Amino acid sequence: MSEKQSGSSRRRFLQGTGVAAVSAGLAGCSGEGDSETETTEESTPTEDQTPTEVGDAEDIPEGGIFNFGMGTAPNTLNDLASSSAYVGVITDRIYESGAAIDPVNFEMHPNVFTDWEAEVLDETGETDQPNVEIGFDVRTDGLTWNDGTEFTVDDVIFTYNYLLEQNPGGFAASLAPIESVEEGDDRDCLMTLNQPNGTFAYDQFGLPILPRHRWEDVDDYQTYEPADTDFGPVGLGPGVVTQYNPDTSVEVSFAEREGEYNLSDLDWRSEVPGVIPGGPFVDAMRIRVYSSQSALHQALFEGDIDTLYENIRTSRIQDAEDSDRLELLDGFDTGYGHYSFNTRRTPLDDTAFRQVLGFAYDDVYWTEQLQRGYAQEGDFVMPPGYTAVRPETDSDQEVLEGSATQAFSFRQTSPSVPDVEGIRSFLTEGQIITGEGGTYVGQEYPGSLTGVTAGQSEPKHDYSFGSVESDVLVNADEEPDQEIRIDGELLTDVHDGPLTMLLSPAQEAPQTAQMVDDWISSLRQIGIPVDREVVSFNTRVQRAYGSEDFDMFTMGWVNLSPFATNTLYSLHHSDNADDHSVAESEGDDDNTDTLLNNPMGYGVFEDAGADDLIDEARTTLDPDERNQVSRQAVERIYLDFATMVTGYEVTKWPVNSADWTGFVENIPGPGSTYLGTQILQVHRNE
Amino acid sequence: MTLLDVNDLSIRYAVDDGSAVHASDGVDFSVERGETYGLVGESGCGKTTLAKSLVHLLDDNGYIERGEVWFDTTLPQWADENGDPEQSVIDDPDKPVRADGKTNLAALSNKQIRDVRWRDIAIIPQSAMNALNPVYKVGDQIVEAILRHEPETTAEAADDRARDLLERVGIEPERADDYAHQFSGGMKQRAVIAMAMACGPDLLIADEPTTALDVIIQDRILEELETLQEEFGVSILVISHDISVMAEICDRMAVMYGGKVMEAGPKEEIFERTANPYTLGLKNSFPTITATDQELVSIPGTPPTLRDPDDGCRFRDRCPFAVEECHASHPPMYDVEAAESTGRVTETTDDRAHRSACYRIGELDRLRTDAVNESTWTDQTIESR
Amino acid sequence: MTRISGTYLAKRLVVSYLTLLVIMTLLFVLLRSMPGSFISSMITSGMTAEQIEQIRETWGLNEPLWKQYLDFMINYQTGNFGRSPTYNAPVADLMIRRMPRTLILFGATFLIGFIIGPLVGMYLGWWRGTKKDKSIFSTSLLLYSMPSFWISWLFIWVFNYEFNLLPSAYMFTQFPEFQWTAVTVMRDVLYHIALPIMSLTFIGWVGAMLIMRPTMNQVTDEGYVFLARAKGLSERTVMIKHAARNALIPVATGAVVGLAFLIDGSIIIENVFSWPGMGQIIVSSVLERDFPVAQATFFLLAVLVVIMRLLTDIVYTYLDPRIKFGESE
Repeated sequence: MSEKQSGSSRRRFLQGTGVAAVSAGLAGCSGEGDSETETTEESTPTEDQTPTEVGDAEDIPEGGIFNFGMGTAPNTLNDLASSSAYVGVITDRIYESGAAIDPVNFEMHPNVFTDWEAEVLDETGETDQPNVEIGFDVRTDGLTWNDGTEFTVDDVIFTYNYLLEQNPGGFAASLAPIESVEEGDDRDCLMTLNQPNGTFAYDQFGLPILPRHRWEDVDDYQTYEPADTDFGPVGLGPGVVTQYNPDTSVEVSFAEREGEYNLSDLDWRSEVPGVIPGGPFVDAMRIRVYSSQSALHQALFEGDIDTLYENIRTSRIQDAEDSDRLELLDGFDTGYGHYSFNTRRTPLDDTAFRQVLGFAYDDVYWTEQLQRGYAQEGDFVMPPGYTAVRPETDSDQEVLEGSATQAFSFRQTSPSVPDVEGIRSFLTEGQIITGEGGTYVGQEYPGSLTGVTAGQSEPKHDYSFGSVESDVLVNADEEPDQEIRIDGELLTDVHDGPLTMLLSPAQEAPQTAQMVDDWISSLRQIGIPVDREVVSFNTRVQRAYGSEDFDMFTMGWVNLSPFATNTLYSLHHSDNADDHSVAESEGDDDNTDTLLNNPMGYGVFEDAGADDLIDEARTTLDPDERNQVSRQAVERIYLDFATMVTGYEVTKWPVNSADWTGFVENIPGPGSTYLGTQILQVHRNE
Repeated sequence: MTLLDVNDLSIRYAVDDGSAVHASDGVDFSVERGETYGLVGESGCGKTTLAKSLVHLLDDNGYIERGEVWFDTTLPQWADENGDPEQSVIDDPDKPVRADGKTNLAALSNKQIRDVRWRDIAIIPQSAMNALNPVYKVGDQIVEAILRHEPETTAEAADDRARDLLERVGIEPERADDYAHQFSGGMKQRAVIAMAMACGPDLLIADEPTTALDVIIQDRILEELETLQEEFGVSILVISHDISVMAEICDRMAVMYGGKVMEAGPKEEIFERTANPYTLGLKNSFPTITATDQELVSIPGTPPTLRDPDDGCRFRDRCPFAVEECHASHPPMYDVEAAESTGRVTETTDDRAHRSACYRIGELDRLRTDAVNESTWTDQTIESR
Repeated sequence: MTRISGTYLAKRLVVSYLTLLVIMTLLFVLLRSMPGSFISSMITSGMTAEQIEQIRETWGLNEPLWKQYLDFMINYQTGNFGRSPTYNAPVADLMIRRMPRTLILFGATFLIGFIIGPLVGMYLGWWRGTKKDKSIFSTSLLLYSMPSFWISWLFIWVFNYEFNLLPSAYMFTQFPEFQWTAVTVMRDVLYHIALPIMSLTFIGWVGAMLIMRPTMNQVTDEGYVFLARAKGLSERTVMIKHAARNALIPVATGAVVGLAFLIDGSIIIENVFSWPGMGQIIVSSVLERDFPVAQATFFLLAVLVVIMRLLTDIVYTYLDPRIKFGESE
């Protein structure tokens, strides 16, 4: 199955998730990494596998119709033209890609391509980087298109060349490194990349394979609507679209597929814990579209649908737990919520100061009180489900729990009361958490897990505390006894007014509003003049990602790649930030109004950035090495603290367990990102 | 032959606080066939209420307290082939029908009175200008009345009749297809008159037929009514505050004040031998036939509210001739003829005679002389203040 | 109906057209004053500068503003609403698909509301001040103050959840086990439209009643009502034919206002009942920042109101012969 959404190639936009979440695909430029990292030529395991009937699949009852609900309509069946996650619910049942990822170990496995081999060439292309040649074999034996047409190697070569020619926006990042794809000599096909890319199996092999007989005559992919054709969309996947009323309902039938589907029988599936090979077992998946979350949930509780997209509303969790029919499956977040800081502005340009902002954030208040326990405390920019790229991996520390992840936890004298004196001392004594072990504001820190250190080794400014003078603090309910001075001056003077936090109106995100209030209150008690500004989601996107006109803002990411490299590059590399340090008047072309994913300006300045590590990870072909470097980058980003990760959602995916079984639990996005795995496995409960 | 015989008719309006307005109190009068009878008095004297009560067209809170309204008609369902009441109906004590063929309208139900309306008694309402429904063609509104009471008539025949009626009142037949707003004020008035004659009623009630019309049109409307009377032999009950209108068209009349008839009788008698202080005052306030250079004097004060009135003469508060007696009870109707010729003060029950409700009926000459002097009225005002 | 002259109609059409031009201009301005460029939803990470430029080019953003405005105005007047980036389809197709569904819901609700409302208003106005009047009037005011989504959920709870009598979503059965014939289509739509219409009309009629009641009350005092009674007509005929017929005139004006409220209400109702019409798309297109669709939806709803206004004027001349359109005074 094509589990390739997230990261770059299949980024999906989500909406209406309650919390303000932006998918990773907000905007950006194609990156041309400039590192000169050596890469090895080998990449992934390549056992040659032929699809075989898995024995225990016979014991699994087949048949039945699985009813699925979602709150947004799938607007098209053109996978190339849409970046909607809800379109993906259908098209991911239709299209297959060269390689597949498993949702448990996040390893790339053979799918339509049986094996591959990468070789770094001496020659360099326009990019000054060594070209890479990837030879791969295509599984033609036993594979047919879902309309019964024979599948050939030619289709694969057509697909890549067609995509390169059309260059659909949603696939641009994955297509950019591809120089050419042609028939190979030793291997079936030969793909040439203009730069090394460690995750090519995910990025370039993750593209959907298109049937030449359907797309050959499509001159402009944007105006093609597969739904209007007599058969519907044609792909190598298990499903065929048998009913398409995009405004209300869609049926994807597995029973009515022409020709057999056996990609789910590949051996690797039986080796991944929790994954059941041999599916799909249901006859069809019926998707019903509801136009409100309330209606969607009502349908779930009334039994009109067996499950829904993404996860259940927090307010209905208790109802689901009380239900005999429903079961809630646990999953991980595929992104994170964050407060981000503009490192271009004083005193936010100082890592030590930013770290103090973390000390004032009451994680327990957020996770336990406001989120009723359905959120996890945040630390790294990779969610806890993506273990391979979490810095805890290869250490003895537990994910999320280890003290190395608690460097910036809430410093309190008693529950919910910030340790004002301790935090002030941290600043006045010139402390900074660089990655060295030690005791900071009364809390032990064991030192960084991966051995990285922060970009700064000492604070940039001299901090002291004096009488309260700024309007914000004079009038504050918190009545602080002292106010901070930066290099002897008031913050409101060096910064031109108090620090301002941008957030959504309380009616849109009530918990976030309460949390921000609590945080601001703590900061004011410390003596830092902070104010809040309520702006709409769209305005916030524009102010932060467009014009970088902000001090601090809150938002969230979803559907990040488990391989980290694309995410790190897109969200934390200086290539995706505007450098406002160069005066605008000099006509600097680098500053744009385009939405760039790194509004913090992280990496723009020498003393805070992970460009080197990110570049290295991106071009490292060996997955273990790549993950190791990624982990270092993740921890560096953590220490530099330009983004404060405030939490991860605890996903609760409701399913009708009275009638159905076979779901895999404890994976990221069980009802969204890895929905495909669930659909392949679900079967009647007997 | 008597068409309408009203006996001791009292009408009340219920008021929220439980009291009642005595809009008409023990009124007696009768109208002969072919006669024009006038009810005159200031606004609020109960004349319109009296007229409307004949066909139960009072407002929601109005009701007939007591009295009878004998009218020479028979409901269709009670009539034999000649239109006279069947004997069984006359004999039935539950049916308000007399041996002489008259029916007591006051005793009819809402449903029954609807058959009397327009067929027997048509009304030209006070605001005839606004009486036409703006959203229907004028002709159709006449047709509607015809078809209501003569369901056997075809729509075509009714339409022809409507045009014919309009023509008779001087409106071109094709104007039947026009709407009210396309008519002038006088035309609307005449159209309503035409409509009133649609079912050939025996009695036509004209409520302030000339109010709000200019003098020339007033005359034409009055002429119109006279012509109709001659042509159809219909009786007309004219209601007006304008005593000069009465002088012009009435055969007989009753002067009302405060819900009571103050003076009644043949028109000439009332104008020439006026026998009631109120009538004298009323004559003073209009430019009339008698003296063209006469100074107009209005009666000072305002009419009574009639809410649970006391027993005294209704007019006594404004009357310059009031005596002790007047405060005790309202005077009965006295025979003017008898008082003038013999000097005897005698009560009368004859509806047709010239009668007047005043205790000083025996001093008529003095009353008439004093009433001409303006000071008689104005001095009295100063006193009462 | 002959009272409406050709010149009047022509004049009225020109005014309607100018109104639409103003609305289009407003739409154009609003669209461009929203935060963020309206193509930002089409730009994804990893796009090259050329690709972004290409998108700007496609959407005409590189043209001078006056040119963009001109193009927009011309396109809209020729029915070219552009292409939806999220639906990957011409916006016009989308509108053609969804508009009838909304019109069915709209039309039925409108009709029922404007039959029940004036009828009740007629009775209450006729029986003004009676106990019946007072109790029904205050009950209806209570209804009027209820939010329509709340009513909808109440109805869903009762008719769907508790008694399972009526479906709570869609216009048709989604995966039917019966054949689609003219009869089953009709039956199925009626079955599905019942709850949304009940929710909308449960309170929707009150607006028309509120207009009808006082005018009916006034009309009761009119001379022609007295005359109608004097003519011996039954109370029923007097009330309906003479009084109500006149009291209906201001209700026609109210209908246009009512329509605006109905649009408002149907956005909520369509979303609560997953009715795939315009109200649903108006919300989703804004959320998804699908500006071509949002723009066209707003525009078409405006067209609907303008057409309704025109129709109202025509109905007006029918209701009230005193209004002479197009004839020089």
